[in-house]
Amino acid sequence: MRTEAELRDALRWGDDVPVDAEQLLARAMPASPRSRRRTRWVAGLAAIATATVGIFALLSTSGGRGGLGPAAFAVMHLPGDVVSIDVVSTEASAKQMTAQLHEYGLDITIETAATNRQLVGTWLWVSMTEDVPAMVSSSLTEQLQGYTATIELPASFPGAITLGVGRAARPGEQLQVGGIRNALAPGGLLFCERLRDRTPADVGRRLAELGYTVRWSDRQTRKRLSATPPPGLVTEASVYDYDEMLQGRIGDDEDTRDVQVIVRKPSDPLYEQQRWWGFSPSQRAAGTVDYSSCP
Amino acid sequence: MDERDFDDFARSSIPGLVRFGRALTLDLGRAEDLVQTALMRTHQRWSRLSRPGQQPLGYTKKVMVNEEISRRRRFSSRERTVDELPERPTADLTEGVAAQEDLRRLVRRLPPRQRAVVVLRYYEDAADREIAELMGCTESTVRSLAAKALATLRISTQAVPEQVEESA
Repeated sequence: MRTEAELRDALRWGDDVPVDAEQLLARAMPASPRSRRRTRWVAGLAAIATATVGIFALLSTSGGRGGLGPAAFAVMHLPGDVVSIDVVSTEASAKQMTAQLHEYGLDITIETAATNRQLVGTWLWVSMTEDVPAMVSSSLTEQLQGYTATIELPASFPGAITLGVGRAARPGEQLQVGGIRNALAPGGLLFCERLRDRTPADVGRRLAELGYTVRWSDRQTRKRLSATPPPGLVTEASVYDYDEMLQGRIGDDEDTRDVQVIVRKPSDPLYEQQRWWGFSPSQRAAGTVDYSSCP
Repeated sequence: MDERDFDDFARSSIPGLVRFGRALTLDLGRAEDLVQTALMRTHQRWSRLSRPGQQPLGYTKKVMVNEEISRRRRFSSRERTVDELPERPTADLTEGVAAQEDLRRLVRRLPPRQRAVVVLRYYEDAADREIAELMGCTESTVRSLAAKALATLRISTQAVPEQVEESA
């Protein structure tokens, strides 16, 4: 048994790490000159909402030039001065990836971390200087929580951003970050099965054909796992791969096996939010899922 | 809205809020994100919160707790940080530090509301009544959440008899 005093001490973790109050304050309440820029960013997103994929201009992709390594990104300029960056390969080093983005005029530094397979090629974390507008930082933070392969940000902005990209672990290397992404989102293990928005009966049948054991869940009521689906439509799925995860650090879901499918009613306030989990802002705004990359 | 008042409030509150956020999330980066989000909300409501009798600090902490509970509910099946990120300092794993890290690992795995109660009670030293108010539940719910959490963490208290641990 442990004591309450030990618990208090354990919780005081981090108390001696200095706090940069000014930086946080600047992020939380940007100075008024930034307001105009923030407005443009919002307008950019609004423009995306009315755009179609067809008018997005693919500028170029990195070639395998000497010094820059294998092409890591596909960069597209979207309406509203927004840039979309897709991770297409993680073979280049972090330094080479950074150099590739600089070639596009993007002042972004890349770091990489060894991840489990389903997070390879996804964006993992972001850090930024205090002069990056709050709208940009909050948008990026939200996007990165979904482990997307695509992020979107303004083509130019004050300040500097560092982004983390998941890469495969080298032989003998320990995982630095592990996670579960929405398997029904682009790049997800089940994306091309087109199971999103379908009925639990359809999805259960298909997943059984694929050899998965399905656990159903309705997060809103916290009845997390059940052998029978709750009413509604399928919004999200999480595939668990125990070979990649360290047992005992799985948290609340350590009794979960294989695939956990989330079902929500369309009338549920969180339905829209959840079904777009892991999609980029422009994909959400377009309102339709592009399966053209699927066989 | 008096921006200078908010500046003063935020500047003086941020160190304590970040420390509270660290205890709540056990993650340096996420703690700062949480404080940032909470301060943005506080700023939006500053005209009301700055009136006499209002408690902007309590409101900000309430936002932090609720945000963290919601976030963990949304993402609990997704986030599986199995190691620190490369740029983070490595702890000196002496025996005591390792024991604390073990305990924090268990705290990380608590369901979100149980973790919030533990942090509010043992980090903030908040009374059950305050915790109940902040989390929008009853005092008995707070006691129940605390008992379950302490049993999971194998924390011995006078108020938690051994049978609680056995039934957990």
